[in-house]
Amino acid sequence: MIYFMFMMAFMVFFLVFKHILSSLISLEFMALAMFSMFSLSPMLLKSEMYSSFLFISIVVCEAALGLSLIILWVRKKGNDLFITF
Amino acid sequence: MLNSFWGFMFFMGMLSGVWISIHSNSWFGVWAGLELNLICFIPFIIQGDVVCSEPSVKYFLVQACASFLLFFSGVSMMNYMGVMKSLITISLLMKLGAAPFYFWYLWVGNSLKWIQFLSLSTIQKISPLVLLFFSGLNKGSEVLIYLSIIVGGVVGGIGGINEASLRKLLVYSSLNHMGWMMMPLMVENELWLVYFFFYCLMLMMVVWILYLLKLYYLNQMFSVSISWIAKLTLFVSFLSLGGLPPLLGFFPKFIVIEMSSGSLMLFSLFFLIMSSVITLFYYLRASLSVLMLNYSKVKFNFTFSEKFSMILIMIMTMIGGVMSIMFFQSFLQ
Repeated sequence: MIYFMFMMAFMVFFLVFKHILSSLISLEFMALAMFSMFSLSPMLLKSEMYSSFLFISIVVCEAALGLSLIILWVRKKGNDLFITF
Repeated sequence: MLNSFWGFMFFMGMLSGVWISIHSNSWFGVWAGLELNLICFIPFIIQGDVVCSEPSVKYFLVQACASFLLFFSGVSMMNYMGVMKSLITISLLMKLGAAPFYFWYLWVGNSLKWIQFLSLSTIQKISPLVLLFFSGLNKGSEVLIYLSIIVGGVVGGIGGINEASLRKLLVYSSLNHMGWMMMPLMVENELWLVYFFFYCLMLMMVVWILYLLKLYYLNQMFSVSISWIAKLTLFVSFLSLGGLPPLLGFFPKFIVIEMSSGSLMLFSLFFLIMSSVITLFYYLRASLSVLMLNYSKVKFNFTFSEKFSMILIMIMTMIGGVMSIMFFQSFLQ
């Protein structure tokens, strides 16, 4: 099930044509799928779950970086579309 | 870049990201190192073009996607699905900018200044190549790496013929060299590292001269009037990148040919050698301005007083080839 979630997120990342924010959202969706995998599978194996914290903290840094890159893009071009005339 | 405090910190962060991902036991550490590398490299791309920084967004998207894919397929390998092995290889090829995932590398590489281009081509390639070597999955997904070698070699050769931008030329040449580098990787031989080291050295020599002269396009090369030492150094560096025999660039190719000539990889070797000749064509075309004796010179004086580095580069290319054959005799057996 989590494979399906991740693969769908991956596919959506590639099918984005217009807004850059959509591709960032799909990146976060990928991260969400992996976070659920990290949280759920140690519960099944009855082991510790601390790796999800480490994972989510690095993902948050990366998401913040992506957002600030979009801000730079929007400052120059006026919108966050990939193709502008 | 290394002048300011934060530039230095980001550079060290980049190198430590590479270090962490190389030396980690699990896919988690690998991913953490790759993310650290990405996060610390983005400010360098922005620094070249502070206003918009379009290449940084493209670079970020592709690399983030590839590292998520790598992490996911690495972690979910516990079911030993065959698909996951090739997904790891796919994601590492995406990170490298190797064929068939080289389009982002073309766009990003064309928008960078020379120093950022150099670090994109050398430092950012270390960890994916090491991971490709150590993952040991090349037994299962050989077809993918064969594809990458042959397509990379041919595209790197033919794609650069119609290019006028020097950065795109060097991107196509790095595609070709990636094909050469992945030949020893496929049989889990350590010689790819030797090739990578020599490639970094040769690329640094070429980019150093072009950086000093601030040349980004092919037609700009005809409008600099520099001393004959600098011209000759540029010529020799380009030829060494193309792999002509007595120069430095021939030695790594010779090692790979020696290693793979008795084995079943002759088919891909054939494609690589043929495409190397085509890359040599566009290196020669790039250094054509050296061979012109009488062309229109610019009116203002262009002072270029980096004689020592030019002479060092010349010595390294001309003598280094012969010296490395003598020193590395053990590799050739």
